[in-house]
Amino acid sequence: MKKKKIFFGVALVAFATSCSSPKEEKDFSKSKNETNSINFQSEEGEELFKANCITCHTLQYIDMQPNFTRKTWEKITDKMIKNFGAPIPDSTAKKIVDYLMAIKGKK
Amino acid sequence: MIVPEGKKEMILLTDRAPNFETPLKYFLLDFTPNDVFFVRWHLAGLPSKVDEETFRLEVSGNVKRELSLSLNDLKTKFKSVSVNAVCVCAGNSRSYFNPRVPGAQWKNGAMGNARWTGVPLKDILQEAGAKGSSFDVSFNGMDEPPLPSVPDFVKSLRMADAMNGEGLVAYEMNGEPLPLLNGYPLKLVVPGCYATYWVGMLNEIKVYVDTFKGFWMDKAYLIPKNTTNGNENPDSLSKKMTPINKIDVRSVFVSPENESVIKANTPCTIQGLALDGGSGIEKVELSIDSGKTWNNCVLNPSLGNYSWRRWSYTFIPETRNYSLQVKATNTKGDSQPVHQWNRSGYMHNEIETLFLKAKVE
Repeated sequence: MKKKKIFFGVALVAFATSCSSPKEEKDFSKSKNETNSINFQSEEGEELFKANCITCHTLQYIDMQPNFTRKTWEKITDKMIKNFGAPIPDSTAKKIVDYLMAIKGKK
Repeated sequence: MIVPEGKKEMILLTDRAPNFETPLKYFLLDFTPNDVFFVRWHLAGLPSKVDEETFRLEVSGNVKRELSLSLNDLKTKFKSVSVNAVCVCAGNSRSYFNPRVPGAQWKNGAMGNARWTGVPLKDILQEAGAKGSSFDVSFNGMDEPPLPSVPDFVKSLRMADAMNGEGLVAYEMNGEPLPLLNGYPLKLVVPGCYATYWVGMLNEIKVYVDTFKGFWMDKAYLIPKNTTNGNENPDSLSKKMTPINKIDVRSVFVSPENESVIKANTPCTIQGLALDGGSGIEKVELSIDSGKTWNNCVLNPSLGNYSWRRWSYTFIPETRNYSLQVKATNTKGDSQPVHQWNRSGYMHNEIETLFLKAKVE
């Protein structure tokens, strides 16, 4: 939980430099967040997703994907960390891949 | 479906970051209405409003005079021009690639046609006295990475392309200010190029002596180099990559929609649109026999080479199932591939198939 607080703290600093008054949790839609539509098979995975991924994007991004193999989900997770700057340690990344396999895995 | 702020009902992909798709039925219009025009942002840190009075477009770098332009400056101190141009997301139709590829799973609605009005990019660069020694120009918007480790969305054009007279810093879309979600107050319009270069909420232009270096040019939006339609083989990926560039030629079925039931023995009009990177559409052909023979479609009048061009084809269906195909050819003779694939799901322009069932009532 401590890490999560730091995330949003940093995010708010980044936002403060913007020349308008953005809100961290600005919701551009009138609909409910669609993450409810997914049947979570892993509570821990869901918590890890919330802590590590939704700063940049909602679970909708996963929900719309077809099922992918573990290798593909590993590549995607790796890309999020290395290319898109998601600060996720290796041990957590593996659990996130397990979670992605549980909800959108191709066996 | 979703009703985003300032919009009508659209197809929801994600609401953080905001990504919404235009329902196909709006493509029966020459110009896509602003309130259903597709929305694509990478970074969740998006301003919820922009103050028209304090907003400035900054121009700096390898220039004689740095500029800080208000909206009023742009509207009163520069020439205003308009261009009809189609804006197509590089990943439009990604969900139709086979094998499937990761990314935003767009159907055909991550594109739209609009009349853009604003200041020629060339005039702004000239006003700043961009030096002849310049090589690249970068464009940054007000959207911000939600974490400092996430690369900011900045795109670049070669100076020669930025000065070619086609690019526009647009403050109007279809005669109205841009919707916030489409980049209010300013959007870079690069006619003929994929939408990744059409930076929204544009507030920073920088001129460089050397090559601009940035994640969104060097690592993202790359296509296999020296291949047609950005094509590559899933089993042996291309080693050499290059930034995505011009829109490739394409035609799309719009009406009736896929898997519709139509009346047999009654004239049925198929409608669609065709587009390319600015050469202009020469012809659109439709096949009702799985590509054995092709029939010319009727083209609507051209709205300019950067605009899409609508077409139609009327035939009298028998009582049976149909799988129609459509392909466009541009004035350079470029046409569409039967199959196409790349790892990122960009530039989709495979020949489309439309399934219809004709029944007697």
